Amino acid sequence: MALSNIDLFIIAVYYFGVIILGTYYTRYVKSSSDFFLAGKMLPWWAIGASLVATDISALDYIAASGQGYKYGIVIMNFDWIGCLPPLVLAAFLFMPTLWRAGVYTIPEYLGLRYNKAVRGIQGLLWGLFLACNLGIMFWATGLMLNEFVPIPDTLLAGTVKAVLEPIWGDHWQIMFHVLLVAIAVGIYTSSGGLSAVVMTDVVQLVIMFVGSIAIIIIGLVHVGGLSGLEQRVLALGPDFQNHFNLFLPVDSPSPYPWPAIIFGLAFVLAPAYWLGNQAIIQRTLGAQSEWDAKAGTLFAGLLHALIPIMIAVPGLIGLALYYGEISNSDLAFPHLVHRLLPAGLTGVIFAVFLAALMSTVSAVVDSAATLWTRDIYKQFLAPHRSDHHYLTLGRFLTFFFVICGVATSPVVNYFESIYQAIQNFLTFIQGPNLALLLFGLLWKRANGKGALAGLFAGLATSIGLFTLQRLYHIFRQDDPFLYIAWWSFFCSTVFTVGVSLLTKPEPAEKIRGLVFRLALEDREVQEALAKRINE
Amino acid sequence: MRTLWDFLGNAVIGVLSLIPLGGVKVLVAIWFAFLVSLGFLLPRSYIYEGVPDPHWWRDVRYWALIVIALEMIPYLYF
Repeated sequence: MALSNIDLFIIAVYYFGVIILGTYYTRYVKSSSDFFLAGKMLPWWAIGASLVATDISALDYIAASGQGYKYGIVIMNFDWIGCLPPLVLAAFLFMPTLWRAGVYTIPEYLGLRYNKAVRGIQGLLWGLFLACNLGIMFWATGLMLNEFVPIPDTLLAGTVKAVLEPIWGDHWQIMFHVLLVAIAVGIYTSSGGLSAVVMTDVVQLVIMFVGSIAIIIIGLVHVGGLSGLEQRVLALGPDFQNHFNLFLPVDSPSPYPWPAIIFGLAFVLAPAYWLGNQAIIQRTLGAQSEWDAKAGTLFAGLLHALIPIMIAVPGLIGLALYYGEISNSDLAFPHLVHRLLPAGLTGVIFAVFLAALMSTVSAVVDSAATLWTRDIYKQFLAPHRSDHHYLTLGRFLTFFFVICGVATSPVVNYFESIYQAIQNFLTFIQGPNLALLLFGLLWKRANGKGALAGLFAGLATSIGLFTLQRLYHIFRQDDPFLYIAWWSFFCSTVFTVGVSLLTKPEPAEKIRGLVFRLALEDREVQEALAKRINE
Repeated sequence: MRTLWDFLGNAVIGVLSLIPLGGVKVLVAIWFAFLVSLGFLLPRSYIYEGVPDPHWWRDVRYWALIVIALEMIPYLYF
């Protein structure tokens, strides 16, 4: 797809505008708290927008619209029932307790609540996941952007090709897109920290909304409105009769029968993601007050209610208009942009993809740097260094992870299983992570031994089930990740509760202010926590 | 092992098949209603913690009520 001059102008304004906005916040970074938690100065509206922008990546536009094309509106569950309930729980129960605890990371909380071993293992698991995931994110989206807008050999009189081709060979065009994103994210994230990430997220979310709404309006006009869309899709034949059902029958061959949606997604993966993912919750921990943490989380719920419409409806419009023309469902969204949008709006959509990509990458980079600095380096390698030392390390790690992500991204192309392995790794750790967090926050009887047992039991269950599925195909679905998440959470729960009940409870002073009811009842917890953190 | 797993799997699916899709929607509505009521069980002081001016529009329980009510619409319709 060729871009016109107006498209290029829009993309350039967006790109340099974001870099300037992000680096502006460097002036507010004087300490490691300013860098990692935005000095605890974030207002509710910025937190809400940033939560949504972080969650929605450029791949969501492609994959969710592709799944919408293939399976229908059932995919919207991921952003409705898979989002709002955990956000409400987070706003009322979890975030206030975590915010009051004054922690920087989830593993840090688990370390205070249980023990250092749990913190170390969780820090390592999440640190590895976030760092390894960067290369994959870079490659997948570079690939997608290049499909969308291939870089011509003649760009800047051939200089770009002459510089990049000797390094990356045939992949130089994809790597140009990767570098475009990496340079911007590296500059503003390493200089402005979380403030820069959050404030650029706000702008990026606005761009994502504007671009998505434009394509939906144009698409719906072509298809004859919502009723026209439904009629056209249902008229395609018996295979499409469930495309407007949010719940599919138990025996549905798709990956989304209703028990998988309810038990795997709504009860396990969604809460684990929204409550226990460092890249998500870090902006809430940087709230300027406990109320801002609650309000920001609920505001994210409101904004997020619109997301499925923005990313799944284009898939349905593509199905209604171009069924038979599109060979791969994942091409539904690019096909729609190619066929429907005029010059100028194509540039906006490209900016939308860039915005979605940059907001997610910057959050992952920032969180990975925070985890490695706080939970690995400060905890195990250099515990008593100056605050300036940790600030410098945080900045260095941010750049380091960006460079590593760029350097490792082409490797993904040669090992398809790496991508699958990283995604499976996330499914493995989500179940036990949720169990530990849930019982740590809500049940004062849960203790360190129970948490360790639950952590290992959950990991063993998910790895075991995954292996059995590979060998014996024990689930009916080809990719039963929702069921695996449910059973690993279940086993982790049984072991956490069982071992905790069989062993000594934690001393009251240790868990003071770290359990929801105790934090609610005790107004002096802040002092106790501040003292404990400074120790 | 495989036979046992198939037996258990079929039994679970057999039980879940008895629940109609309309019943699943009712369960979801109950779940949403529970979340809203959970907020209203919390003390007012806890809701307003950290707020300099406790106006009614800062009561996040109403925010949750609005957001959940909006989200229930597609679940009841589709």
